[in-house]
Amino acid sequence: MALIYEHILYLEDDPLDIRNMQWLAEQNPGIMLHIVTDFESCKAYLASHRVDLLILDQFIHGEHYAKHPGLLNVTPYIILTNGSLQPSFLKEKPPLVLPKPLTLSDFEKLVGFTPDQAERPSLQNFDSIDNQKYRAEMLDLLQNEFKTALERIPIAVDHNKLGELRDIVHKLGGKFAFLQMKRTHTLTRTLEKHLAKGQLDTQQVFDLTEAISHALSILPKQSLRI
Amino acid sequence: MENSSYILYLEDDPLELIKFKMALSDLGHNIPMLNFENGQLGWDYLVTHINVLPKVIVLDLRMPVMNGLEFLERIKDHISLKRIPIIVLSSSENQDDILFSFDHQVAGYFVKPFDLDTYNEIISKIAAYWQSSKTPG
Repeated sequence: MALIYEHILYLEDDPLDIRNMQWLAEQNPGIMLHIVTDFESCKAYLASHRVDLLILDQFIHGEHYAKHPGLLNVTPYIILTNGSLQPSFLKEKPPLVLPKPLTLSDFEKLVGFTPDQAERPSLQNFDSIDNQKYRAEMLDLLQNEFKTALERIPIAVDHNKLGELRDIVHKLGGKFAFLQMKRTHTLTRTLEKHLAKGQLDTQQVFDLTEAISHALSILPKQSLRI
Repeated sequence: MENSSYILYLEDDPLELIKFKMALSDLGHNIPMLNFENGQLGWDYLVTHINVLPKVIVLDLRMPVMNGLEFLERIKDHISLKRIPIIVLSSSENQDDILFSFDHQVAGYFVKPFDLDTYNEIISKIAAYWQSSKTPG
């Protein structure tokens, strides 16, 4: 099983379901499970810790998760439910819904599951730059590099210029590291190794361009140059 | 030959350069630094400024025109330049690159890490090396 998520946050108010999830996590070494039992603690945890996947019950203390949309902007999430999903509350369909109690088989599918969305970049490193000059330079650089890469990658692929593609991918790795996009950073390293051997995996290239587009959409839009 | 106290950083990626400057600045060290974006420009500078050589060279490996490995090969063959300590700072974990670098007497080899805290620790070690190492007079 490919382990995509290492840090899982579980929002649940039922002690039996919590115990079940702890047991499931224990069967999968490498997973760090963190438990919170209410929406406020969940928000606080998300704001201050790395979380790769949020798993939450549909209702916490009788309140529906959709009343806290801020929770769902931070990280991929999965909903657990005792019955059917309550559609009347939902503005958007969750990436995955699984029945409770969660089985080991479902859990293993879940930790290897990629929601239909690119990895979410973090602006934490960017926001930590106090020096306005460096901050402006960094933003311009990231925006330009990503835009240029989106233009150059399809041309390099169409013309089978693997050396050029490798150079583009190589330079993107550091940018994804800066935006803390671990999976995409790993993807650039893997893709670069394949390209060095003359191998082109078009699915990997597709995933990379999706990640670039997503990162570009998250970055502040305006230049910060003074 | 006179050794100056600056660091020569050969790196073509502007983001890496900003990270490097920020890390040095955060450490509070006022280390003079000069950057060129490929090995050829670095080489040209060194051979025309033979009397003011850097105390340490920080070297990326994957650069256009003349890459880091070619630069290493050339500098270690030069009578005056071969003693400048070189620290590789590269994203390459390739064993061949590491072996080649140490075969050419690098003073250290660091792989650019994923997270910024680890990166800052590495730059701190390079700064400490710069501060405390004795170089041939």
